[in-house]
Amino acid sequence: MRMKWGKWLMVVVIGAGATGLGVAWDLMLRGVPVAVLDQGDLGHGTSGRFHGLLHSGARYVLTDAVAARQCQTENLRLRQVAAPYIESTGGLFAASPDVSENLVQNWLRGCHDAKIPVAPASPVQGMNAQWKRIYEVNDGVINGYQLLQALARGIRQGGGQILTHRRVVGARPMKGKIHTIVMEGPDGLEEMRADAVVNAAGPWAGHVASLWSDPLPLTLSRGIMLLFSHRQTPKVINRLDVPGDGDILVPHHHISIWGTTDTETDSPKAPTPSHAEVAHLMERGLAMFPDMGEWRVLRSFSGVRPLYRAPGNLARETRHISRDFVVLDHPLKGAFSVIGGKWTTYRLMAEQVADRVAAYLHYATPCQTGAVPLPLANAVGVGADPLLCECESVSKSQLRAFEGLSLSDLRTRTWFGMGPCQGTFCGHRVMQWRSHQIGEEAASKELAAFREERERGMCAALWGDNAVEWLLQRNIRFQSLGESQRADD
Amino acid sequence: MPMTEPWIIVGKGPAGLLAASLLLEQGHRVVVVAKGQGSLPLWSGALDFYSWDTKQHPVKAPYDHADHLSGLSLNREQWQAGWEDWRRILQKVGVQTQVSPDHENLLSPTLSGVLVPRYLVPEWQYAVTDPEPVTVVSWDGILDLDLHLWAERYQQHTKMAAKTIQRPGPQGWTARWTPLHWAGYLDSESGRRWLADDLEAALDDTFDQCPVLVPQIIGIRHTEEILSDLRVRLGRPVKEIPLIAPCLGGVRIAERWKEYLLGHGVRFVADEVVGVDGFGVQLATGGALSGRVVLATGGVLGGGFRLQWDRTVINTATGQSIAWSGKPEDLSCIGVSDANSLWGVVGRSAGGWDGDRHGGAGHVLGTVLAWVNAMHEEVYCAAR
Ligand SMILES: Cc1cc2nc3c(=O)[nH]c(=O)nc-3n(C[C@H](O)[C@H](O)[C@H](O)COP(=O)(O)OP(=O)(O)OC[C@H]3O[C@@H](n4cnc5c(N)ncnc54)[C@H](O)[C@@H]3O)c2cc1C
Ligand SMILES: Cc1cc2nc3c(=O)[nH]c(=O)nc-3n(C[C@H](O)[C@H](O)[C@H](O)COP(=O)(O)OP(=O)(O)OC[C@H]3O[C@@H](n4cnc5c(N)ncnc54)[C@H](O)[C@@H]3O)c2cc1C
Repeated sequence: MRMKWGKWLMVVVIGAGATGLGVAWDLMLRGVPVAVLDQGDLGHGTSGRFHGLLHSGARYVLTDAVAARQCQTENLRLRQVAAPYIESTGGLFAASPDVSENLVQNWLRGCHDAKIPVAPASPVQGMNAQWKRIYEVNDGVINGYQLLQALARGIRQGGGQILTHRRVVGARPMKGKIHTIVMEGPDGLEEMRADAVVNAAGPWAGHVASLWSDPLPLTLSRGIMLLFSHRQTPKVINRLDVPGDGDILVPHHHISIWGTTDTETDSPKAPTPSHAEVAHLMERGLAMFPDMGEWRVLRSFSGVRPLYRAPGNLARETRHISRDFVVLDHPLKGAFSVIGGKWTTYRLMAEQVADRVAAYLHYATPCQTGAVPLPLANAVGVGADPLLCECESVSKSQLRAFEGLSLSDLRTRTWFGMGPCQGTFCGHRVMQWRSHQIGEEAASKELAAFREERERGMCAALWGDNAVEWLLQRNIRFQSLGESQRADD
Repeated sequence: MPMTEPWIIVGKGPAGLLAASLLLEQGHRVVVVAKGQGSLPLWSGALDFYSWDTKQHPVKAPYDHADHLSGLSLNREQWQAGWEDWRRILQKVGVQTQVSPDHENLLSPTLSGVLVPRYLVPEWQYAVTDPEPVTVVSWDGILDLDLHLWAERYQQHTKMAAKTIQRPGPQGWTARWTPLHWAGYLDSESGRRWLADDLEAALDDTFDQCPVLVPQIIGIRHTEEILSDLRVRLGRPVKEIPLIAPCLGGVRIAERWKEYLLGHGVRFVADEVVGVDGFGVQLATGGALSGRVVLATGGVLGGGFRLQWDRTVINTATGQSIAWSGKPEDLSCIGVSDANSLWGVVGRSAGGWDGDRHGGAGHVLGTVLAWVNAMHEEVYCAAR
C-alpha cells in the first residue's frame, strides 16, 4: 500500500455532506490543512436527499426548543454568508380545523420565546379553505447541491483537498493517537496520514466509528418525499401542529417537494419508497391541498436521518428524538464524531466540531464561517451552445465544466435529467458525450445505472402524467434507441 | 346494420387509423374522434412484429414463434394477409415500405448504431437483410446522432466498416434547430440544392459504392423525391436513420394517412370521449355522436387509461375502472382484454401484450385483425 497523501499535519474529514464540508471549510479558514473523503460524490448521503427547507425554527418550538433556537439563529446567518444559495421564500404555518386554539397559542408563545417573528397571513390559493389560521415566518429554501459545491470550491481554493469516491475502511493508531486513514478508491487501497479525524459520515457515522471500535448511540430514521412539477405555491407551507408526517411543502425553483415521514430504519442507504408510504403522504396532502391528486408528480425519493439518541432517551418513535446534535470525542485520541442536527444548522455544527479539533491541535484562530461569505460559482456561458437537457436547460459547455465525472455525478452537478422527462431524451445525449471520454461500453454502463436510478424514483410515484412519461421513456429506450432490455428481465 | 350508421373510432394512433381505413374500404362511413396526436409522431413508423425472443435475443423469423403468434388466435396465413393489407393501405396513403421477400425481419439501425429487427420499414429508412459497409453523414446540431458512437456500435454489431463524415450546417442554421426546422428547410428549393451540393462535397474523396446514411431530416412532403434525386446525383442509395421524437418518419405517415382519410370522406373530430354505450359516445365538450364504436385509445401511454395516485386505473373513454397488479412492468400491458360486445377495442388499449418488447405495430395489427374477424362473425350470425 502506498502512503500517497499527506506528509504534513492534516485533518481528515470523513463525509462530503453539509456537515463534513462545513467542518473542512471552517478548519480551512482557521488555517488548518484539511482533506475531505467521501465514498460517493458531494451530497451522496442525506445532504443530497433532503426537503430543502431552511427552517425558521418554528417547526420545533412545540417539541424541541434547542433545535428551534439553533435554526432561528442559523437561518439568519446563512442568509448572509450563503446568500446566493438560499431562496428567501418566506413560509406559512396553517392550522387545520382539528387543531385546538390552545395549541396555536402555545405555538405563538413558543415562537415569541425563540425570537422567531410571526405575522398573521392571508389564505393560500388551492389550500383547503377551512384552514383559516395562517401565520407567516421567515422560512427559506436551501439550494443543497449548489451550496455543497460552493463549500467544496472554497475548500479547494484555500488549498484543502476533496477526494470523492473513496470509502474509508480503516483507521490506524500510533501510541493511542490516530495516525493513518485507510481508504478504498478507484485505484484500490490508499493511505492518508491524519493527525486528527472527523467522522461526519451522517447515517454511516456508526459504521465509521466502529473502525476505531467505539460504537455510537445513533438511531436512523427514514423520510419519504414526493416531487411535483411546478411551483405549486410561492412560499413554504407548514402544517401548524406538533411535527407529524406529510406536513411541509417546499417550492424549489420550478418544482415542489412534499414530505415527509419519520420511521426508524436499519440501513444508512436511502430506501426505495413503498406504495404504502407514498399513499400515506398523499392522504395527508389531500387534507391540506384537495387537488394534490391532480398535480403532476415527478418521482418519490427518500433520505435517512442520523439522529443522536441521548443516554436515557427511550422514545419509541424516532420523531421524539431531538433534532439537536452532539460532538463526541473517542478513546482514540484525535478522533471526533458529529451526529444529529439539520442542514439548516450545518454551520453551527461545523463550528463546534472545529473548535474541538482546533483546540486539540493547539490552533488559536477563532471560527470565521459566520462572517466570511462562500465563494460564488464560476459563471458558465450558455449562449448559442445546444442544450442537451431541455427541461433543465443544460448545455454541452456546462457539462464540460465537470469533465471526468460519471453520468450520475454530472446529474447532481448540472441538474441534467432532473426535469419532467427524467432523462428520457437527455440521458442518451449525455451518454454519447461521455462515451468520447470513457468509451462506448463504460458509458453504456453509466447510462444503465442512471436509467435505473431515475426509474426507481419514477416508479415509486407512478400515476397521472408521470406514468405516461415512464411508458414513453421505455418505448424510446427499447423501441427507438434499442437500449438493452436484458437488465430488467 | 344499416350502412348509413357511421363507425366512431376513438383515437388516431396507428390502431385507430388502420381500423378506420379497413372500415372505409368496406364502404362504411367513419368518424374519428381523438383528444391528441397519437403515438405516430413519436416513432419512426418502422413496424415491428416479433423482434426479440424471451431471452431478448434478436429474432430473424418471427413466424417461428408459435407461442407468441397464438396469443391473438391468428394463424400464419392470417398474420401474413394482415401485414399485406397494412402494407397496401400505406401504399395508398403514399408511403412505400420494404419487407423481406421471405417474410423475415429486416435489420435497421437505431440512432445509437444498434441493429434492431423490424418487419415492415418505410422506403426512406435504411433496412437490410444482411449488414454491409456504410457511410454515415451528419450535420452539426443534430444532437441525438453521435457519429463516433454510432460507428463504434455499428462495427461492433456487424463487423462491417462504417465511415463517418460530420459537416457544418447550412447558412442561417443555428444550434437550436430541431429535426422539424431541418425538414422544413430541406423541403424548400434552396434547402434541396444545399443538401445535394453538400453531400456531393462530403463524399468527394470516397469512391466506394456503399449506401449513404443520413439522419432522418430529409423533409416531410418531398422526401422520396429528394432521396431519388440524390441517388441519381451521387450514384448510390441515400437512406435515413430515424431520430427520436418528434420523429419525422412517423410525422410523414400520420400526415399523409390523415390526408388520405379526409380525402375519402372520413370526418375527424378533436375532442375527448368521456362516455361510451351501444349507441355512440359522449364528448367532453358536451356533444354526443351516434354510431358503432371502436376504442383505439392507446392504453396508459396513449391516454386511454389514467392511473390515479391510489392505484385505481380509469378508462378515460368509458369511465370504468379496471384492475392493475401494482407492478410497473405490467403497466404497458394494461387494457381491456375481454372484448365488450357493445364496442370494439383495438391497439394498445386492448392490452395483454408487452409492446415495449414485442413491437407495438404487431400488436396493433393483431388486435385490429381480431376485431375485424369478430365483426365479420357477428354480421354473419346476424345474417343467418
Ligand atoms: C427526509 C429528510 C428531510 C430532511 N429535510 C430537511 C430540511 O428540510 N431542512 C433541514 O435543515 N434538514 C433536513 N433534513 C436533515 C438534513 O438533511 C441532515 O441532517 C443533513 O443532511 C445531514 O448531513 P451530514 O453531512 O451530517 O450527513 P450526510 O449528508 O449523510 O453526509 C455523510 C457523508 O458521509 C459519507 N460517508 C459515509 N461513510 C463513509 C465512509 N466510510 N467513507 C467515506 N465517506 C463516507 C457519505 O457518502 C455521505 O456523503 C432532512 C433529512 C431527511 C432524512
Ligand atoms: C416513442 C415510441 C416509439 C415506438 N416505436 C415503435 C417501433 O419502433 N416499432 C413499433 O412497431 N411500434 C413502436 N411504437 C408503437 C407503440 O409501441 C404502440 O404499439 C402504439 O403506440 C400503439 O398505438 P395505438 O394506436 O394503440 O395508440 P396511440 O398511438 O397511443 O393512440 C391513442 C389515441 O387515442 C386517443 N385517446 C385516448 N383516450 C381518448 C379519449 N378518452 N378520447 C378521445 N381520444 C382518446 C389519443 O389522443 C390518441 O390519438 C412506438 C411508440 C412510441 C411512443
